[in-house]
Amino acid sequence: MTEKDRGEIKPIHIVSCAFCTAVMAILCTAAGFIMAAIPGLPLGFCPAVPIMVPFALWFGGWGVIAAYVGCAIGGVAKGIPVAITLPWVINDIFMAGVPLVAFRYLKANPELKTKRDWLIFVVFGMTVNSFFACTWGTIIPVYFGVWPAKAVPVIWAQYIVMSLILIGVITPPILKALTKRAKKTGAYTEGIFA
Amino acid sequence: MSCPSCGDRSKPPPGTGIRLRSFLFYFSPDSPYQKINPLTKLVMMVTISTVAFIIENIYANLILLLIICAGLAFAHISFGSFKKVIIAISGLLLIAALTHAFFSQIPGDIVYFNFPWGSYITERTIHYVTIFYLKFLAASLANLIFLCTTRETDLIVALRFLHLPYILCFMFALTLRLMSILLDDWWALIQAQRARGMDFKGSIIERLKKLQQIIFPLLTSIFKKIEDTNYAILARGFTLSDVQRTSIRQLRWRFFDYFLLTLSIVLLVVVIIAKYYYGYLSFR
Repeated sequence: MTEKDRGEIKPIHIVSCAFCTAVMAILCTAAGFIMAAIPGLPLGFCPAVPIMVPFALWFGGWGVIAAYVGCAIGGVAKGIPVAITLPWVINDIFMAGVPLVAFRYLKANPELKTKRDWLIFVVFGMTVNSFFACTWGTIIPVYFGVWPAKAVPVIWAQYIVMSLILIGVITPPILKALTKRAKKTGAYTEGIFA
Repeated sequence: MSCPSCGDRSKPPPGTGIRLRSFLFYFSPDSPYQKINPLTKLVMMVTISTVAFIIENIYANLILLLIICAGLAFAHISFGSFKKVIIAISGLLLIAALTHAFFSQIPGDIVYFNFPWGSYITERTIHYVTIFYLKFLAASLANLIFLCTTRETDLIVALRFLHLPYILCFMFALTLRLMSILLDDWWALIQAQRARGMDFKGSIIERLKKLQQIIFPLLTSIFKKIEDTNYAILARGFTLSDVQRTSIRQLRWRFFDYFLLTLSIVLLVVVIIAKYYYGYLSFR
């Protein structure tokens, strides 16, 4: 990629967004069916969560869009009414968007090479984004009557613990191993959308 | 012979035994839903699932659920195809319904059980939990009918009719097509890893670490596919400029489409007025 190509939205960004959306939709739908098949699995087990952070860090705003649209498709495929799904999956914008903004603004490297990169990842890529995403993802279903209000602390705790475990176990190896490969594709963005 | 809803000559004529692929399953081109406009189906899915969600009267929920089940039966899809999906959806709804049972405080005449955290189960709790289960099951089945009887190409025709930007429609169409491709890749990776002796047993942390063995190759293959697809669309002259495009498929409107569209919108309006202005169809 030359200097002239940087900062320009290209068709490959659209293609990468479509691929990421498809992956999110599959993983989000699979989560529901896995939970139904394995009794006792904590709420909040969604394999899409640890993948949306790398997608956002690699593909910028396109990864965030993919997180939202993909999980919305997954929600509809799981049978949740559209009127509930669309506001509910805004939590995925927090989950993917917070680390994206932090990494871009603080100029951290998604390959997690230095302690500073790791610190920014742990704070914004694991903790802050999970807090906002899980809070939204718990409160909105209560508003629509999916969960009772008294169950909020239990559900919130399960969501955030699972989110931290998923991101902490799966995301760092993906970032360390595959960021270099992602940078070679023309879809890697250094800004938000280009 | 062309498709009655969009004039698509690529669809096989009815009676040939060739099945069409929807989002989830294969279905017969003889299905009555093929005669319905995809935009009408989309609007019906949204309105009926919203109506099912709004109604909180056990008899109304039951009647709506029976109507939706009858609609599912008309789709001409074998029960074996969607049995697992319905079981999975029912399982998820059961978890949500039990959460309501254990954490709600709905007063009633008879208290069956008191929990240490202050919640209790009364006869009205059981009534509410039943309503909750029925209404979400009805909404889920309404979504399922749409997903089982609509092809992604039909959905894109409907979105183009709404004059959405071509880039959005293209991205959405590509996403929908990729879902089935990537699902096959996902399944192949699981089988390949199982053939190498991997199992998914162990604690949650161990299972997550094993999940990486599927996610890594999937992501690596995605990078290659992104580049290949990019070259393919560039070779076909795809650009991001807003060029007026024509389509071989056109949306056809018949009287039945207008009738169903009007009926579903009127139903939604009536249910909203009945519940929020007159208090009918509410949980009491």
